[in-house]
Amino acid sequence: MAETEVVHVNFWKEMHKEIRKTIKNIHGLVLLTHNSVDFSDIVDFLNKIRREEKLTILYISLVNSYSNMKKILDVKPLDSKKLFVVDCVSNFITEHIDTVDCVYTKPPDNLNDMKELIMENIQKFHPNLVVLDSLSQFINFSMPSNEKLHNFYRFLKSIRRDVIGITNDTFILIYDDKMGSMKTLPTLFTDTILKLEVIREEIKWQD
Amino acid sequence: MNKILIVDDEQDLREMINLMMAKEGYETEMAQDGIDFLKKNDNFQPDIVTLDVMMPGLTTKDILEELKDKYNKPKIILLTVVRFSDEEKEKLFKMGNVVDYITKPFDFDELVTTIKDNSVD
Repeated sequence: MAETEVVHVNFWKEMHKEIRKTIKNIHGLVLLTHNSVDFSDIVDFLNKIRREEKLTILYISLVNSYSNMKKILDVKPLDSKKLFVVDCVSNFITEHIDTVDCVYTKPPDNLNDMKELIMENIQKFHPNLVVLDSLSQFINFSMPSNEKLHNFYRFLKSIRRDVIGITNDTFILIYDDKMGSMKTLPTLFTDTILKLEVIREEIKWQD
Repeated sequence: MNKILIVDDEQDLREMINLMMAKEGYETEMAQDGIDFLKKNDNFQPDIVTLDVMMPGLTTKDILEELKDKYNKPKIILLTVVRFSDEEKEKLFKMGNVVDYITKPFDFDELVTTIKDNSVD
């Protein structure tokens, strides 16, 4: 058997009651890691946040097109939340014209451009909550280079300085952790790190 | 021997795919973005290209459109984190010479099988 060495150990605390309370009252800079491929799982998560408040969400999507998201939202709506989307996906295929609740644009090349895109759309939509889906476009926590980590930390610092508490109160960074185990966790720069684990099974049909 | 050009801005991933395909007996070349790809496509003349959908600089649409007028038209396998709908996938396949589509993060065996399925005998 090949020799191995421990590179990093992540401790995860799992207490369902406490997690429910954490999600319900979520604020600040949040990293949500997940293993799901379905946008509907993200909708479920967003619906658990601060249910009693009417929140405005700015959703920056680098993973799902707005038309795809809309199909899911028609079946599973966002309860008391108003959603504005920045779709960085659809223009890959055909040019789209902006609508009242969606802006179409090309994906930002780096985190600096991403920050500009966020600021521009915050001024436009005035959200309480910003969601960036997905961070996996910019960093791979299973094998991050020092340069990428450095840029990412700088991005988080600038988000905290220019976004949190000034224009909105919550910023959720979604990260798909299927690329591999996370060797680095940005614990210093985030308020909360959550792990969403979706387990699916094939439906066994019965006569 | 089939020639494969790996286009990805993520250096680690690019090198990993390169190493794996060289082991499988392919003649390999790498490019770090769209402009680098278009240059190397002319010189290397690959049979297959694995193309990361989101890279800095030229967009995938720009790249595929640019390829339309080129003499050398390799088969393109797109690598992407984007979850396109079936309708969108259909449109993608009509662009350029796109023959397949793999969603990141992917299993390396899946990638090798897809490349082999699209190789010239």
